[in-house]
Amino acid sequence: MIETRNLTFGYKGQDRKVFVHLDLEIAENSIYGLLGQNGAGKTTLLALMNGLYRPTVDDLGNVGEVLIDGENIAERQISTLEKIYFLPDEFELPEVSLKQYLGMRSGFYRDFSYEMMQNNLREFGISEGVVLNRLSLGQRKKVMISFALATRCKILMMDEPTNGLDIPSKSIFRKMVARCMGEDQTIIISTHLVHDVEGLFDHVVILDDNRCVVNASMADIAEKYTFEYRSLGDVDDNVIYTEPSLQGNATISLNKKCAEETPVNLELFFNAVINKKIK
Amino acid sequence: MTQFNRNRFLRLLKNDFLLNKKKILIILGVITGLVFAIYTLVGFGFVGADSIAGLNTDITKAPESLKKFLAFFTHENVMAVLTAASYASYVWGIASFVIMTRVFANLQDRKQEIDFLTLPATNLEKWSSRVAYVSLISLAGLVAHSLGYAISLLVIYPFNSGFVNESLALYGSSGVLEELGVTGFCKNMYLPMVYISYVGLGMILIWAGTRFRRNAWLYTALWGLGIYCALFVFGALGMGIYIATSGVFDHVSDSGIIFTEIVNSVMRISVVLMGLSFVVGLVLLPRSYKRFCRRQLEMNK
Repeated sequence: MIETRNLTFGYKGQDRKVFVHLDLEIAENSIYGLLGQNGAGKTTLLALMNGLYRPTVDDLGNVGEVLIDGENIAERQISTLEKIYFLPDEFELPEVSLKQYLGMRSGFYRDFSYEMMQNNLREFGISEGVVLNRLSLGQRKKVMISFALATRCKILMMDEPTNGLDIPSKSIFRKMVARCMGEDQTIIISTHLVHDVEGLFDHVVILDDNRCVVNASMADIAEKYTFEYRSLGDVDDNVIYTEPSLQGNATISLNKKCAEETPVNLELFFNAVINKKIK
Repeated sequence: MTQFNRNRFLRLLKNDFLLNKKKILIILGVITGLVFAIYTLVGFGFVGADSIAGLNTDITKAPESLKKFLAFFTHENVMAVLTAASYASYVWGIASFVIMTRVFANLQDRKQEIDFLTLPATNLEKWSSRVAYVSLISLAGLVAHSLGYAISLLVIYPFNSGFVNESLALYGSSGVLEELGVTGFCKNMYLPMVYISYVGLGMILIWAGTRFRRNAWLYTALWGLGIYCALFVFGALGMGIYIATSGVFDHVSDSGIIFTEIVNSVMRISVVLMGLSFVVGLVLLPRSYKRFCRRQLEMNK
């Protein structure tokens, strides 16, 4: 489990804090969607969870912490680092072949699966002979997504993984994550392209205004709200949020007791949260 | 407690080696080849010079081609080779060290730094692997140096049974220094001090690598140049003042003795400076590790 306790963080030289006293719990065996607008702090939160950044001392002189299975990540214990793989949004790859890269890096991850790596590459249509720094952005993403999943680390964090992927690859990515996810794994996917990963998440965390405004399971959201398309005249007081769309007005309303659950329209839900219609 | 795992350390070393393999192979190839060639020639050269002077070496049993080869090594030629060899090996040694510290450049670039910092290994393992990586140059130089002598020894030995002792003296540079009139501690300790100063230089550059990262070579070169100029100016000034005030040469009319005095003074200063570089390196090395550990904190910028 990942916990942030009383986490405050601000970049050096900036008065504005990215997070102030953030408390968050990420449960095991789930795929989390970390959502937020640009600049909401998604990447910063992932970096803090990786121990790349250190929490800032708050006004009262307290330092928050990020705990991975009870261990403070700031201590960078090897037992903690071994549990985590972080795939950043932007990365550089060295001038080596993929085969060499696997030789260099796979040994660091004790559960690394070559079979999974090969399957993933095959699905993405990438051969092992490619030289990494000559690949396009999308191809690099495909290689690193394949590698990240093949590490089989207990906690896998991906920052904007669908950025740069073509449309068929986004679909492959969703299937791949679902297929490769182990029983004891937690996957955190940070994105602002909600539509790309819809249907993949078990939980969503939404960041806004320097804090976590939603941390809920998809099941809870589906139980609590009804997502449907309605005509303009059909929008009643029960509707919490509405947006015009080609199919009519996309609406969110409170789920009446015993009513049938509807599939969660995550993009709509996200917009409702950002517009403070859902708290 | 900081953990150290040999396998992870070796994996990190392999990682750095593969990422920089072209550079490493060129540097190692050049420095090993150069030092090997120079010291093989020097090894042959002293035997050649010795035989020309009619001293201990008897190469009458040697083949004609070897005799002709050794005849090239007159006393002047040998001294020229040795001087060139010393300068060349210093310059290449320093240049190689500086280039090798470029391994720390990935701590300058945010993307590369994240890639490195998130590798599951302890700070001690990561830092030690880089120390080992930079130290490869010293090792290569030492191996090439020893190999050069060993080769010359093996070729000459059948024709000169007294060569082994001479070679060992030569290996320690004491033979050469004795010819220059250098005596005592400086004569016996010169070569060990050269090695020690290389180790010191390596430690200083490892610190510079963690401190200046991508620009380590530039700042280190500038600092080195600055220190060299300061030492040169103050050294010359100090020596001038010493000579003027002590009257050390007032009663000396033999220019040979004056030369010997100057050489001895220079050697003493060199040995002190080499020892100093080692001490400075020893002080800076733990600081390098501390700074390396603080990288995570500096990411907050």
